[in-house]
Amino acid sequence: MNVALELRGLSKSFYKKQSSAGFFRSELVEHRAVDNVSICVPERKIVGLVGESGSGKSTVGLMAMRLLEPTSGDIVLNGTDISKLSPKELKPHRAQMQIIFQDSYSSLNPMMTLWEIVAEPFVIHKMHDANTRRNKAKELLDIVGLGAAFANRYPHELSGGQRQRVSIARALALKPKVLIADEPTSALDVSVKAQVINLLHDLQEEMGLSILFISHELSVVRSLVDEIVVMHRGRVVEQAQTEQIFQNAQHPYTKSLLDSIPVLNPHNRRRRTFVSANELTANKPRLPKAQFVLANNPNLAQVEDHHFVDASPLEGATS
Amino acid sequence: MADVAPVLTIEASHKSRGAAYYAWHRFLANKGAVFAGVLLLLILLVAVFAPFLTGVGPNEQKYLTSALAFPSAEHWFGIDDLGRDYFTRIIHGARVSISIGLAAASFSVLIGLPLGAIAGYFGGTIDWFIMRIIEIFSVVPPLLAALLLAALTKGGYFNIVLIAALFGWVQVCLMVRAQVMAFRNKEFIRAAQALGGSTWYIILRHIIPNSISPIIVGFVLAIPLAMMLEAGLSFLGVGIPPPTPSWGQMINLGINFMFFYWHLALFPTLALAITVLVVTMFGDGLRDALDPTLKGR
Repeated sequence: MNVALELRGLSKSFYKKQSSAGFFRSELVEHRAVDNVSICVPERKIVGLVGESGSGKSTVGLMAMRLLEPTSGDIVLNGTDISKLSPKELKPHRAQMQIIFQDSYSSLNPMMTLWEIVAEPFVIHKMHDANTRRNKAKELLDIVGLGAAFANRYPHELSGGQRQRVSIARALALKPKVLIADEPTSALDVSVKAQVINLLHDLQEEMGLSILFISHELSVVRSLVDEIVVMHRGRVVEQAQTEQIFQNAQHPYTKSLLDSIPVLNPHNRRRRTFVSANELTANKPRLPKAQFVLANNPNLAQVEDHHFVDASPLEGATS
Repeated sequence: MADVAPVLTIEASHKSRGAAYYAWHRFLANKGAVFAGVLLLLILLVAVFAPFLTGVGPNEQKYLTSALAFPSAEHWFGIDDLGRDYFTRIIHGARVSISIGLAAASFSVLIGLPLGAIAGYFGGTIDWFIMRIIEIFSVVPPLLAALLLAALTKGGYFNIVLIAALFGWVQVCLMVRAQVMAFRNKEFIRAAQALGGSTWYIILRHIIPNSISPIIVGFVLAIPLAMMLEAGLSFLGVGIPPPTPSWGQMINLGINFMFFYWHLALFPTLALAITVLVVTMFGDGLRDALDPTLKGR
């Protein structure tokens, strides 16, 4: 099994000035947004990265794209470590990995027509002449389900789902191997959401994409992804094949995420349990030492094949 | 749920309309700004065609015998103390005033645009540094500093333009900076970065086109400031040297005769006031029309 994208021990710290030390002195307080996250996206697979707002999942996506510099850790794309490359050296690798964002409105330049937006990758990478660029852009718009008639429209004339299709067309223009989808559906209506998910699924099969799908909804992820990584407070708390997560979740946080999925049968409605950080610490699975097999993350214990769970005591869990 | 994404179509009758179309319609809805725009166009035309409108040159002392004459059908704004047709001088003064305004505003944009774009895009230390420079310029009273600079450089057309630009760029810079900061974290900038676009590519292709409205507004609003500054300096005698007609200079002259020959002070003052008012109103209207927060209203 070939690996398309591998994130090794990725961490990101943000520093905030706090003046509590005295009137003139201030000290930097470290906030670990992402703490030692390792994710492996195999070729032609879709990995879901799930967690609540502020869990650091988007930060992981941005770091994987080198849009945000990791504090530590490596990003390996198709066997090349891209985490230390200069912008110039990175540029050819950029074509291999692309990202789509949550907010479809702000991800399109309002001053540009759709074909200009979709042709932008060719401009940046100095590919083709002007005519070919326009034709290729129209083809791409066609592929994502927007007719060529849309080519001369502006982003504000489209609906959210249509705009998200344009984002996808732009991301796929350079035929990347890896796509990072940063909550591409969370701003969309349910029906449109399904369309975009299906489109991503079709494109993944056609183009042989490997996708890191970032989302906060487990229900959306279930039908699409092969493997799920659950993040909480910047750490990976559980990592397994999709059905293993749904059938045999071990970590209390994963369980509460599963619990938050709406149920169809009204008789099964129940009050959702909300797990506080302290409860998480208390209810964390305690597992024998022998199961902690990962060298790069000593907190994760293996409970079954491909199934890892965070089982060390949480540190500094207040609030 | 369809397996294949449906191909979405749109009716052929749908007309694609860019941001400019909506801006133009918002501008037309603003009656005051349209009126100001029409008046401004008239003033511009008069300034451009000034040499052909009256039969005499601005410096020809053709009517010395009837010096200081009051307005009449023949000499609409009267005749000044040196026997020159005052209307001719006023419309030639418009050329000086407006060309200085335009030139100074251009220089203001030339300085303010790159500094604002850099400050807004990079933030951090560069932003801090540029903001401190702006603060230095905002605490110094412009007229006083301009007076000193004009006295040192002995005034003159080009020096006045530079001095006006030196105090006009601050506003342009602040407007561009605010716009760039609002756009810097938009995801289309991130997407361009993710595609490997260089910083300069992003600034030129994405940041500046999206800052076009504050640039236009900053340019238009810098014009009256420069015109006022020129008039002020000329009034104080360090601006445009005579005999070139300048409204500030003419107001100064008019003050000497104010209680006996009112027209010498009134007409240049009116000309300056109306022009500045009209440009400002036009600029305000433009700003309201181009403000992206009103998009789609």
